[in-house]
Amino acid sequence: MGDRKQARDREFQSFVTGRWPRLMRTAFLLTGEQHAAEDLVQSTLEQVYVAWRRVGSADDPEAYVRRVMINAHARKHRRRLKEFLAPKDDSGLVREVADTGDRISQAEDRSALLTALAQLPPRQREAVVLRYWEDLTETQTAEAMGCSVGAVKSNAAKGSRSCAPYRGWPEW
Amino acid sequence: MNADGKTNHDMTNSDIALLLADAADEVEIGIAPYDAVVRGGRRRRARRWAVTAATALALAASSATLAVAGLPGEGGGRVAPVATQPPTAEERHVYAPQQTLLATGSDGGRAWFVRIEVWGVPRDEVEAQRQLDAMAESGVRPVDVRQASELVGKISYFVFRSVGDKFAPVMQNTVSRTDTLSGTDIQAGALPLVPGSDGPQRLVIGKVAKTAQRVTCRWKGGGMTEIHRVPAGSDVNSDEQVIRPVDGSPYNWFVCLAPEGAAYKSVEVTK
Repeated sequence: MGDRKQARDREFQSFVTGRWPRLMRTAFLLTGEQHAAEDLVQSTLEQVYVAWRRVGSADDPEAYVRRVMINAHARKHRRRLKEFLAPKDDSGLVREVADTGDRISQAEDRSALLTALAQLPPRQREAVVLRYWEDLTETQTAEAMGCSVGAVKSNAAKGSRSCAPYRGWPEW
Repeated sequence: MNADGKTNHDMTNSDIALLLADAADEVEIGIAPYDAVVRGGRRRRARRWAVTAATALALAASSATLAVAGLPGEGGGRVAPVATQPPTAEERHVYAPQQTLLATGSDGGRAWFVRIEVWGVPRDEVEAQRQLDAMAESGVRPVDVRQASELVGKISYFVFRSVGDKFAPVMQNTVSRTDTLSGTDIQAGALPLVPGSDGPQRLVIGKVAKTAQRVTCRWKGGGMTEIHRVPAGSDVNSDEQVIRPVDGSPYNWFVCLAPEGAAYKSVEVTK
């Protein structure tokens, strides 16, 4: 019994260490902010720890982790993100971000891309990051987001269209 | 295009992936905080058990009430039938939230306040959809809710912080109408007073059981602030922080601001 638990702990440690860099990059694209990304990954892995007995022996623990991260992102970071990324000279009224197309079209550098990404509605941002950074299929993305393939197609298309004016971002 | 839609745009997709990879390189990876993850995971596990136990207790209590009320021949004459209509959705604040000012004050010459809005319980999908529309009109959206039906039987609350000319939502949740806190239960968060700033976490906002009489906030570097419960409808005095009943909320709420130069360390119900 004790040996099995120790083996599970070792597996989990190895999983955390191995997946940390990739999860951090994904979380950074989702949140647009270093500390928010660290919080998101740590919170995700804490939830994975609780379920590790089941998750570790599953066929695809990565899929579970992605699902947890997307849920945690939707729950905890969607609103805070807008606050973090609100321009300093803005009125601060960030209850909802309206049309950000103009700001996105003016994006010129890497941080502007992150800002443009972050100002997409959360579901569009999640779809773009999962499809094109995580390189998931539409089916896998739908599983991670807990929605239909049609919703993924729609969100990814809208998200990429909104970002299209960014520095050669291809439009299709 | 194949079933997964991956073929026609391979070049396009890889271009996007490259751009995202470039942006992702900006993050500092650091060392995986394995010990902190395990500590957090254990806390979550313990909390989950505690919540499960509390929920079971609440359900047991409401079942007992229903059982007694439904006993044939019992209480026939003791409770007169009420001829009034059930409250309308408007009266239940389904389409317009009840607002409560939690605290207000002035810090470094800037006025600040924290306000909570509580939306009442929709009884069915029609009410829930109208509520979602009303929320959208007022500029808020419950983050965990993907379809209107998920609002049925639940209250939604939004906590807003205003400092100077900056106004932002800081906490939000949608919870069952039977959700409750008891004893020394506390759920709180700490954040910088000024939205978007990297300043110290001085503003503590949280909720406690209706029975909690005193909350103690401790500050890094020493020092603490004790706040006490006041009755519903009590005046909100500038720079006076208290535990306050909130219209429509199953919990009481409090706000605690650390003195200038201090920052949040811990918070607990102490009476």
